[in-house]
Amino acid sequence: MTRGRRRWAGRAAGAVAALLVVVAVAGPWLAPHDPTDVVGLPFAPPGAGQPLGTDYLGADVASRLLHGGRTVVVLALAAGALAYLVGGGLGLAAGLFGRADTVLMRPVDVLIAVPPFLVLAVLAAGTGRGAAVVVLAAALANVPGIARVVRAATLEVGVRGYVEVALARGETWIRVAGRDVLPNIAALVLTDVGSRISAMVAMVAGANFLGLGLQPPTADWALMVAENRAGLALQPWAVLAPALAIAVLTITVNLGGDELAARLRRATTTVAA
Amino acid sequence: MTGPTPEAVDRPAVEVRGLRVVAGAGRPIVDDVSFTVHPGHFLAVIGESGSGKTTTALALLGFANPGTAITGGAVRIAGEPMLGRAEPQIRRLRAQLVSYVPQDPAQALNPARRVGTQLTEILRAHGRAASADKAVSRALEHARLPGDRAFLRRFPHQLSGGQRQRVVIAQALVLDPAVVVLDEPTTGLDTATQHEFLAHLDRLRAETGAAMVYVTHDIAAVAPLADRIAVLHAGRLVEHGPTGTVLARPATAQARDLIAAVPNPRRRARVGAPAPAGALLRVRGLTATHRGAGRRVVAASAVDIDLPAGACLALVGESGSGKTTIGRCVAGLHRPDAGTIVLDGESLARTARGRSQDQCRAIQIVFQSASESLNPRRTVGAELTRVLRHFDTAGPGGVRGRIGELLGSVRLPPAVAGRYPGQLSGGEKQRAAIARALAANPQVLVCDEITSALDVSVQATILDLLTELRRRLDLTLLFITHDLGVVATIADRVALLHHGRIEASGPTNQILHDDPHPLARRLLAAAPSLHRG
Repeated sequence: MTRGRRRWAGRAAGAVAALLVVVAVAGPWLAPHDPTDVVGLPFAPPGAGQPLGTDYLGADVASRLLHGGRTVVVLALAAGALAYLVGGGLGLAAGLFGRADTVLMRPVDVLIAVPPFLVLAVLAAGTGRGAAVVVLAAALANVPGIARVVRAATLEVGVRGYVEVALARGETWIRVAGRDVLPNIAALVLTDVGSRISAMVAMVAGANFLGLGLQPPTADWALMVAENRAGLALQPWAVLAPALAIAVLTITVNLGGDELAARLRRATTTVAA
Repeated sequence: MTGPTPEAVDRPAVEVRGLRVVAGAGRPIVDDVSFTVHPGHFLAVIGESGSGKTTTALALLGFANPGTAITGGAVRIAGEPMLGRAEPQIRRLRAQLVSYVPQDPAQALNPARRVGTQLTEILRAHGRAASADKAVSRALEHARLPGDRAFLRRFPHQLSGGQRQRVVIAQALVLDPAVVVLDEPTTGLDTATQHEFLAHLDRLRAETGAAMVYVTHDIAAVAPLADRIAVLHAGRLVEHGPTGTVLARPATAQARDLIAAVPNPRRRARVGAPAPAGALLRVRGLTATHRGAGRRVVAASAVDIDLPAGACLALVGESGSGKTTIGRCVAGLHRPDAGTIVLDGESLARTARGRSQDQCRAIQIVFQSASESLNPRRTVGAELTRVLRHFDTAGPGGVRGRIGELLGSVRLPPAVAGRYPGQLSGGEKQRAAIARALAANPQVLVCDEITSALDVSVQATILDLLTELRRRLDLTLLFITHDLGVVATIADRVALLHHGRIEASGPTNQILHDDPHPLARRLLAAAPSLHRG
């Protein structure tokens, strides 16, 4: 693939991801029916008034689809924000203070060794099921990786003259981190933002599908796949439509994130050239 | 000093005629450059950065950097035209005729492969694996490196800087080239290592008969070796002739300026030493170590320094002598193990975090690498504003007025405030870094090798600037350097460092000239100079 075509593909993927997010967030206002209203027989095929048919309870699949994206997007973004906040903070502190390094990073390293779904299962068993548990588990799964990358990048930038003179001026480390370190490591740290967020979408969806997160009758894409499984042969749209929505969201967020990272890198190199 | 006699030379090793290289937009970087080098001769190509030196050097290999193109002229190496050939042919010619030693040879070695492998793989790549062992041992012998198995099995990080450099030279020689092109190969080496390396090059060309084209901005270092000097300015060859003639009677203003900018280590210091009454900065028994790989390396031991107000003390030593560590301890960036630092009667905390805002303000530091010492994501103006706000040192003129003033005092136009470091040249960046330090209204300015990465002409303007600032702002300077030429220009007092200890200290003229310390003698002997008696 040529660079021009790759760039075009990245932009298109980013646009689709943005559109999906908008639809997911604004969907409830566009939906013709309430997601819990019974509008017909269970597993009725697509027809007038119900473009995607009905689900196992006879609710409109199209309306549930428009309602069900919000939870996926909001939970994944919340997990992403939490992961970058905690991981970034740990990495910055570990990178800037040699003495805090071991204290902060060893527990993080331990976390790497634990499979994320085990963390989720333990949390769900301990504190009960719910959205907060899913967000926490998805974030914890990503904190070690982010912290390690941020720490390594910070170590490299931390020996630069502009960081040293700022510290020699007696500026607080938070200020130095915000002005000198973060802007210069952002491109590197966000290189894999696309794959991380899409992995979080997948994890949130997986947790909901397994019933560890949101509970019926909430409209949620992953829950829809789970609850309509039985009728797959009868009314495939009730399963395929939400499954497809999750897949497209995951893939386009991934590609769009890559494009964003590439742009950040380009911006850095032009400034530094 | 001289190559083979002219009679023995049948054809020139390098012949360049009317070379023209243009950048993407058609702007010429090198225009109408012609010169000839005979086998066994040494041509020094000198010029400021941006004068087209490296571009010219690369053109000798028939190579142009991405975004540039060779659009005119002819380059012949040992009679073979290098331009206008297909890529495979060019590669074969490069393999047979011309080698290139890049800037920073330390990075030219693959850290993950053994020295021996890196030498033999070159021969293997050119289908000469059969005679590899013999060729490698000959190249090592030329490079004055041990040829035993133990040495060949070492990795680059197990060699000293000088040895690494010689391995790169051995790589360049292993194919018996007719021409070796060296592009500032001693950048970042201390003077003693550089001196040794150049002496080594001189022996090599006598032994191998290879012609050498040496690109540099350091005229003083190569002057004793070069048969001829070519001076480039803005992409044009402004002067070309025998070394003696060019140095003694430069015909053009550009060449004159370049030569006049070279500091002379043997010159007596201009400035008289002020009476050492009441030291502004007093360091006593400073001991500092570096921890690394499970052991402690002592960088400074029991160092005493007295720096009177308004004085300029040069801390001089070879690389690894601990001079940078001392400067960093003074600035509060390195935690010393023992000793006290007293500023204006107040004892300072070991690191900047423990010092009061005013104590932090009073000592500012400027680093060697200007490009790494400015935040690439912030404009010069934003950095200056930040310092002025932090220390509240804007004064009555307000932040904006003060920024204009600061830029003016380092001789930068006010428009620089809106620029990013990437848009500035090396010299401009270093001025911006000095302006940032001055924004704090410091009493003591620690200058850590601030000119050693710059061209001689830029270095001269920075030194001139510092001398003026020192007088006008009553600055006290702790000037860290390995370059005795610079010392004579700026410092009134000198402290000589060796293995972390101060061997001698006192007024510059006394230490370096009137009653030279043995260490001073050694450093002077290694210091490159155009004025050797």
